[in-house]
Amino acid sequence: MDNVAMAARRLGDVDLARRCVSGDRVAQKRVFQEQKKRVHALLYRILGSNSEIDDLAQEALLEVFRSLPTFRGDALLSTWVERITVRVAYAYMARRRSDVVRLSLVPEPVSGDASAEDRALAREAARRLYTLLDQVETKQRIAYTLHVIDGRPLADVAVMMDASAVTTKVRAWRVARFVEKRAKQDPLLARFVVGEEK
Amino acid sequence: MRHRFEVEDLPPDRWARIEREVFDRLDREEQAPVSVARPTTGPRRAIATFVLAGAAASVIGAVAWETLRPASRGEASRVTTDAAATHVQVGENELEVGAHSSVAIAGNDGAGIEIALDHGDIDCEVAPRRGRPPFVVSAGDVRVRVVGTHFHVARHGEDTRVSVDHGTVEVSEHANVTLVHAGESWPPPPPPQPATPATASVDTSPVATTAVTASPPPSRPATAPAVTNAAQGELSRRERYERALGLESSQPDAALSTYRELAAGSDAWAMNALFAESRLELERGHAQEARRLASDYLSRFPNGPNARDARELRARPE
Repeated sequence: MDNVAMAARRLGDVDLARRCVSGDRVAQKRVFQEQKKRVHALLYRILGSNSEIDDLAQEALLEVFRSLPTFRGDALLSTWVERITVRVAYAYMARRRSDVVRLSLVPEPVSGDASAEDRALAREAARRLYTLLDQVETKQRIAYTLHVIDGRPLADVAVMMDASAVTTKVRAWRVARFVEKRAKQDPLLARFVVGEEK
Repeated sequence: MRHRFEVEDLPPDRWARIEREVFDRLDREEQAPVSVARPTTGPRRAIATFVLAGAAASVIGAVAWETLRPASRGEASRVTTDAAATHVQVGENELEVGAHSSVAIAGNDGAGIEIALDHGDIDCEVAPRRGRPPFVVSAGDVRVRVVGTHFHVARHGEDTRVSVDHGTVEVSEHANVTLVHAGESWPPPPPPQPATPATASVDTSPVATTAVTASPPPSRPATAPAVTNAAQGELSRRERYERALGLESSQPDAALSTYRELAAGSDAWAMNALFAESRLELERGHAQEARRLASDYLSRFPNGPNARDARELRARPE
């Protein structure tokens, strides 16, 4: 997106935010529909399959609406929403830092075909990975999940976490090293995190 | 990573439930006497305001706290002290609850923090919010919204006073909003009246100093107090600063221009404007210019109220 298009989009975002703040339900519904999957995907990346993800998505979207009066268009609305979502995820993990984050039960695949089996293996690997991530520091976990798992550029993750790129890189790297070390003793996990073949 | 774990989206019925819940909550909050972050029509539009309606502040305030507390902020914790003050940490923020005080504290840095001061006093060292949900202290009809600062709120009966050590807070009472800056207090002390002995109540706030605010609330004197010629000049620079603050979101270039003019001086408003210029440049993505201005601030005002923030800003990596 070039600068002009970006500026136009920001202006559109500011206008949309103002309409939401003024109580325009059509605008509010539009923001909800446009942002809901972004919010959920981000929470899912950070937390894994979590039994409380509905409540957290709801909490994040509520925070978005409550905070809209402070949206000034310095960033795209989507970026701004992601920053709020990261904060909600962080607050959730901080609240639960003495507990292990609960994972929802993953249903076994009904079909016996190869793709279903692959999906089941991926789910199991994801479950093992997020169980490991429960052991790491919250900010490190967020940096790792967004940069390594979600593939977002370090600079973007740094902005979302309000941290420097160097700090973000170190956080993600520490977790990557920890996970890869564990994956050496877990062939299934290794397939997904260090690229080992079957 | 070689493989990407797929995100499993929620089914439509769960999204429908979430949507219903979100808009039901928004509707309830909209109808409630406490409004969070309503838009304002004046130049302070970009600054969210918090208004607590109702005359019987202590009663309505308590009801509002119990019934309108956002679920995301969780249960409130109550701190009541006797003869000794106590220290409380809430997220990154440090609170000193004075002796014989009672406060209810709800929320966290992620969801926003709300503190209701029922009586007594509280000293708050608030970490910079950096876009996070606000930190708000309510004391009866008065609400103090914080960006990142050190301030003090005292409430004795219906008399509430706020003093600011560094940073800026936004104090709202009914529909009146006042920015209170470092070294100032709210409500402002009465102007000197050499011909008549002062009859106003004595300002007992510990850090009360030289504040003069442009828009006192209606329950206070309805117009700005008379000031001397010298003070009028000071008020003018202050007004220009506050107007620039209000223009930041809608006309950032104009705000910067005003800050630059004010920063050319050598008074407190030059100091505030120089830091505001640096902060605004950073918010606009001009990190290099922001750092240069922060350095300028530190060389000119090494012990200024925003020196700590300026050092942090100057040290901010690319």
